[in-house]
Amino acid sequence: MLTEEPDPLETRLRRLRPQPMSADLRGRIAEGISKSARARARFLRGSLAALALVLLISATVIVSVSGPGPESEGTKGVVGPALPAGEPARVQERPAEPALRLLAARQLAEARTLEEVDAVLDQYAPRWLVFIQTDQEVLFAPGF
Amino acid sequence: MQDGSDDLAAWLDRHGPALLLFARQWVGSHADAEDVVQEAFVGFWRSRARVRDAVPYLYRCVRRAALVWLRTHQRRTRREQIAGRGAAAWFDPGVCSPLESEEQMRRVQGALERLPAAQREVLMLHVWGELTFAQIAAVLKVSPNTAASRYRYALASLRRQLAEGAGC
Repeated sequence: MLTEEPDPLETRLRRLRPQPMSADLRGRIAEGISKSARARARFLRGSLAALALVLLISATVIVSVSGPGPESEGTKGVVGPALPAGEPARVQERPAEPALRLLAARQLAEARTLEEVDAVLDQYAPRWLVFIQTDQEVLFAPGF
Repeated sequence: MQDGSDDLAAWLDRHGPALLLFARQWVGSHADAEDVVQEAFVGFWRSRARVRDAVPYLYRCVRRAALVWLRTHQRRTRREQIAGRGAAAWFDPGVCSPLESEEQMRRVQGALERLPAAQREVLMLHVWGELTFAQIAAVLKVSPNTAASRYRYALASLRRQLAEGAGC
């Protein structure tokens, strides 16, 4: 294996030593590094404080914009009429089957002509089979 | 010393003199070179953990700081170089080997000053910084082959200059 001979000029150059680093420069560098570390720590602390402040302001703004809910005491943010607290909303109920049957029976009783009877029967036909027993008695059976 | 060492004193012992010499080639005086090295080293120390090979990065920091300094103080540096050529020694006469007289040391410094800057910096990085050509390539952002060929040209030019000087 070939080994490269060191260049005599290179060897001569390597014998020259650069000027040493003075103690003063070493001290300045050490001081600069510690000063830089302190400045960095200050910057990080400042950044964290600024971030916390921004988060706090954002949270405050969000709360004030969204406002209190309908169950709160104030009127701010309430769109419709306020319901009494704790009372569930009511749904419009369809007439119960017995009431509807009474209604149908009364309409049949009040019918004076055959056309009127047909009209009542047609109206309720999708719901019941209606059997008229007598003038006073009407039977309903489940429809189709 | 490991390159990843956090020991500041070890870093300064190992690289301090070579960094000063490296900076000295661009700036007007030894005091200015110290300022450049101080500024660059503080910046390097803060960010050294982010680089894979810290040594070339350290030299790159010094080079950048020296070139910024040079742009800022170009006129003053030129004046100082003309006024004080040869007066400010780049090398330590105290550790001069018996074979190298002070006169010879000054001749080497003069020859180095006359080298093209691109060759001189490669020579300094390789001889006194003890960087490999791959590391020099990383400092200068050139290929390792370019760094090696610049080094060969620098040695040839230096040899020629020193031979001419010896013949006078």
